Amino acid sequence: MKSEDKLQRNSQVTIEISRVIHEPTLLTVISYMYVVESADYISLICLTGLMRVNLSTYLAKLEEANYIVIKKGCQGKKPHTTVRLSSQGRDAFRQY
Amino acid sequence: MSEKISLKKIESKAYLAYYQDGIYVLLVGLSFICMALGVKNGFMSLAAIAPVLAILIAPGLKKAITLPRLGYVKFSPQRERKEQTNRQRLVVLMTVTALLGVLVFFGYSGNAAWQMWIRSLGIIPLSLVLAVVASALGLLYDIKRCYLYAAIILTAFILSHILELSLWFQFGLPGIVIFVTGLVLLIHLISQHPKAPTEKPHEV
Repeated sequence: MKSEDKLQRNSQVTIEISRVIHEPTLLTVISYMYVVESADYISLICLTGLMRVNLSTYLAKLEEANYIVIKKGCQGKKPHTTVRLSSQGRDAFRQY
Repeated sequence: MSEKISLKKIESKAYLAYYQDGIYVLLVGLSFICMALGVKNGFMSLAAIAPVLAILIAPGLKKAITLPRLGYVKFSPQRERKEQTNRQRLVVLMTVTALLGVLVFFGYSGNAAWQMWIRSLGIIPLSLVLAVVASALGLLYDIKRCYLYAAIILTAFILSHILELSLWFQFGLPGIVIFVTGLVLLIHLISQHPKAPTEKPHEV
C-alpha cells in the first residue's frame, strides 16, 4: 500500500510539472526565455506575439511555479520590468 | 498538432530582430547617395562627412525607434562572446581593407606595369573592397541581404566602368537600392510593432 501511495504521489508531481511547461503557450514563453539571459516585458510581447493581458497571466503562472524571476525597476521615470528564467525553470525546461 | 522547437532558431530570431529594423541599411544607403551627390556637385566634403554622420546618429535612432518597439533583451554569454568575436573579425577585415585601399591608392601613381593595370580598372578595386565588406557582414551576422548589396555594388561599378557612366551611377544606384530597402524594413517594423505604451505599475 505504501509503495502504491508513493507511486501515486510521484505521478501527481509529474503531472504538475507537465502542466506548467507542457501547455503550448507557456512552453513558447519559456523557450524564448531559455535562450536569453533576461528580457523585458515589451520584448517578450514582440517575441511571443502574445497580447499584454495574456502575457501577464502566463508570467504570473510561471512565477507561481518559481520558474521565472520578475524584477521591477525604473527606466528614468517609467516602470520597467525584466524577466529571467530561474535556475529551477531552466532545469525544468531541460528535463522537459 | 506538434511543432518542433529549435532553440537555435528562436535565439537567432530574437537576435536578428534588432538588425531587421532597417536603420543601418537606411543610413548606408543615404551615405552612398550623399557620396554620389558630393562627387557630382564637387562637394567632396559631403562624400566624406556622410558616413561619419551615419555612424554618429545610428545609436540615437536605434534608441528612439527600435528599442521602444522591440524592448530590451540581454542575450546569453555565448551570444555576447560570439558578438565580440564578430567585432574582432570585422576590425581585422577593415584593417586589411584599409591596407588594400592604401595599396590601390599607391597603384594610381607611378608607371610600373601593375600600377598601370590598376589605373586601367578605374575605381572597380573600390567596389571590390565595398563588396567584400558587405559580404563579410552578411556572413558574420547571417543577413543574406548583404550578399545582394555586394552584388549590386559590384554590378553598378563594373557596368559604369564598361559603359563609361558617371560616378553618380556607381554610388547613386546602389545607394538608392539600399536606401529603399532600409526604408521598407523600417516601415515594416513601425507597422508591425507600434510603440508600446508605458508599462502600468500593476502589470505583472
